[in-house]
Amino acid sequence: MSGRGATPAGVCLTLVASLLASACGPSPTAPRPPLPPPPPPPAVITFTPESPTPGTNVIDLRLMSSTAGELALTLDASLVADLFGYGLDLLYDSAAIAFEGFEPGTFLDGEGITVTILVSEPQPGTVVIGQSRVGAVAGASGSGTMLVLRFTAVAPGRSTISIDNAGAFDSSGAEIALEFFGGDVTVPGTGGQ
Amino acid sequence: MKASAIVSLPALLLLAAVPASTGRAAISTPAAFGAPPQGPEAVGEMTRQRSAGPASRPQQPRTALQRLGADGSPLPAAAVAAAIGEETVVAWLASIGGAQRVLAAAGETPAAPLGPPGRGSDGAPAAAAAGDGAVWVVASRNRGAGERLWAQRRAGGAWQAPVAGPSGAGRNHHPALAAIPGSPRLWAVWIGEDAGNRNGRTLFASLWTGRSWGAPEALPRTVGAPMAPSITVDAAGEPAVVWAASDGTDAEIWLSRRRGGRWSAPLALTDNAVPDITPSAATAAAGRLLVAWISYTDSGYLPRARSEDAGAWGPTVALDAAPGSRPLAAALDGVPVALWRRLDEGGGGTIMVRRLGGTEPGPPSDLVEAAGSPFSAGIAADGRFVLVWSRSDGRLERLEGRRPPGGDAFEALAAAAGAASAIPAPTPRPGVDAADASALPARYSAFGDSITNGVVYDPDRRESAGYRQPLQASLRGFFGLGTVINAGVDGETSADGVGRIDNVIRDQTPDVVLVMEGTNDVTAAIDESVIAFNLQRIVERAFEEKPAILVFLAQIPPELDPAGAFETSFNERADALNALLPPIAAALAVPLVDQNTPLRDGPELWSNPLHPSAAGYRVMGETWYESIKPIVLLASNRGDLDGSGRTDGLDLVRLALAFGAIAGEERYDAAADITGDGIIDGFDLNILVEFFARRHDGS
Repeated sequence: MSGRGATPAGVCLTLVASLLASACGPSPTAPRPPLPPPPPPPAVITFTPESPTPGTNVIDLRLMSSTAGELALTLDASLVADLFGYGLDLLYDSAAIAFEGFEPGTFLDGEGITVTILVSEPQPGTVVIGQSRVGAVAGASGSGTMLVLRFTAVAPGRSTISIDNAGAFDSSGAEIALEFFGGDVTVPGTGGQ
Repeated sequence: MKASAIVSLPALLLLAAVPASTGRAAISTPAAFGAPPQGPEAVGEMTRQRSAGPASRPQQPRTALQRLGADGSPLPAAAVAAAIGEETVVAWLASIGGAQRVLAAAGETPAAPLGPPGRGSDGAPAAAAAGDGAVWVVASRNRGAGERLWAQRRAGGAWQAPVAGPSGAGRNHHPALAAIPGSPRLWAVWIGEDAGNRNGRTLFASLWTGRSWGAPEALPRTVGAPMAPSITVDAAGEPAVVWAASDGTDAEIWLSRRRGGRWSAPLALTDNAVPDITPSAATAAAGRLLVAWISYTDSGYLPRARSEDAGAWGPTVALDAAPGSRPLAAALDGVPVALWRRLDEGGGGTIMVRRLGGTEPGPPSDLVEAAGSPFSAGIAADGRFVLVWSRSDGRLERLEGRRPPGGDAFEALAAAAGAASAIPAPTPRPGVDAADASALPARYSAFGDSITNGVVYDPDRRESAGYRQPLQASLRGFFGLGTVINAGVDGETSADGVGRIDNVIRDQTPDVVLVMEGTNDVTAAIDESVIAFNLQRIVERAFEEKPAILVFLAQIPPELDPAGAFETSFNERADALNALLPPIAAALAVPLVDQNTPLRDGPELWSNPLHPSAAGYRVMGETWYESIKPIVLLASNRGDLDGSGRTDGLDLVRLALAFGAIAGEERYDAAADITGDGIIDGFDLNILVEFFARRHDGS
């Protein structure tokens, strides 16, 4: 740990603390110990969506929340019509992040409607997803979240989360022409990099 | 083995069927999806499974069979080949929509289902290339009440409409063909029998005159019922038929020739104290007749051959010192050759060829590795040849070639050995003929002794449903179908079973047979090798009776001694018998089920020294189920509804679109009716979940 104290960053933080003590401290006649330096703001996993803004007839990944070690993404549908179900693969770098699980969204829900979801990770770096309404019902229209996908950090680095083998169908069984967008994930290094 | 491939199922599988009205999800088991939908509250479950998944593999290329959409995996003992001119034809028996049907691939054209439309299951086909450039395929069609032969001809590069085949008395099956060289005529031989009377079997032969089938001619009978006939046409244009049948003691090889319109009395080509079975006949140059078969020894079945030269039969030639499968006698460019599959201990094998012409037979030569069995071959008069065999992954593979100008066809065959190519036979898909039968096995015959019969002592002897009831409950709980029929007979030995199995298959018409026998033999101190041989014959006769049947062979349970332990001499002998069964099961390509180890868990599993308690039967039923389930799953389309080679989200959507639909409704999707029970429900979803995110490329 002594080596870290000699780094420029550590020196910089010490200087800032001294200046604060000089400006705001008690009188010279009653010297007080300097305040400890405030902790650096925690570095969080960042996610940059491939498509900056939601479009029309799009299924894409959006950032829901992130911390230094966890990332939650939503799989959203944007301005779709009669979406009955879809299937896709998520491909990512398992050296950077790991898939932890999912939670269902509400977009495909409806009164009296059953939604089935299958999510499997046959190998690290690939998540196969299927989600669909069930039976003789109409599809969903509009925009909303279909799934929440949770990842954890494995090691600092970058990973693209791409969507492959994707397809979507309406309630007649016809394929819908949708665009699918993933994004880029950056897992910060130690010390707020 | 396929079973082990299934046991390691998907890596991280999370399934949620969320009722939108509540948004809640509860943990449950996959079996919760076993019931048809009953409203939103019935499907508000989430399941979670975790296991290891396979690595990504290259996707199987699209094939002619897949384009046809009526593809099916080849079934045991079912592939035949014929070569004519520039075209080779391969025909095989496949599982389509739960029924057995003949498929044929001619050259590079897409495979086509042959035979008449309508219901029923086909038997193993025979094929021959006639002298007029036509290829014939003949097979039996079993419609329950009757079994008749059908014939279909390919000429001018197209299949003609199927026609009725020749017909003898009663049921007609097991055809073999031989063309008359330089003529459109060909001979067929087959087994005809009175329904339900095994001893009433008779061999019949008929000549296709070019316009119609001639009146059936009954061949002279042997002491035992004829099995596995083969036919060739000799230099005089007259047929010679060989078959296996008992001489009153064990099976021998018999020959009858037609001369002047009369069939000769059967000539025994073998006369020994061991079974000789599965003969094959061919005619080489100068009318020299060649017959090859397998003969039982302490090492297993070994291939043998005899040939006739100038009217005199030579000695029996041991083709190989290693066990082998049914050999094929052939004339390659006039040279008599025998081909067979040498079996290795691991269940694999190598196709061997041996030249039998000249004064001294040549040495056996290996042609190509062939993990599966059996194989068949078609060899044209112009030296063109095609060999076909099935691989352990269920795909057919073929080897083609022809004699070079001025060259030697035998040498060309050996030179072509490295150029074997696969005939893709992908996953069978239900729905092609969905009305015929369910896609998954529905009828199980539990074959064995009093343990199978469910005898229990509590404290007095009574008969119960034994393992059959828990097995049936498990099958129905997951697949939604499965009836386990009792074929257990108290006190039966394995020798009794050999004589009973074909009647059971004929009477109960099972899709699956569960064979567990030998306890009474061990009790009677019958030699373990004899018991093992009998068990082998039971399985073989089951396949002879119904080539597409699934057979499971069990190792027998232990005996509980009075002290509540498993230390009796019975158990030593049972262990010795059970140790003999793995190679037999491997050679026959049937799953082996360990019914011994699970029954050693404690005395509470036993009601008396030889019969399990109700708890023991539950263990036994679960043991059967755990072995059956993965095999039956593989017989389905594995949830790959769109044939992409992988079960994925797109398949889930397709099933969801049709969920709840019944056959006949507009929304009904036969591919999504994975179990083939006429309704798309949770049982179909069960199977899709089992295979979700897995590839099925057969590699």
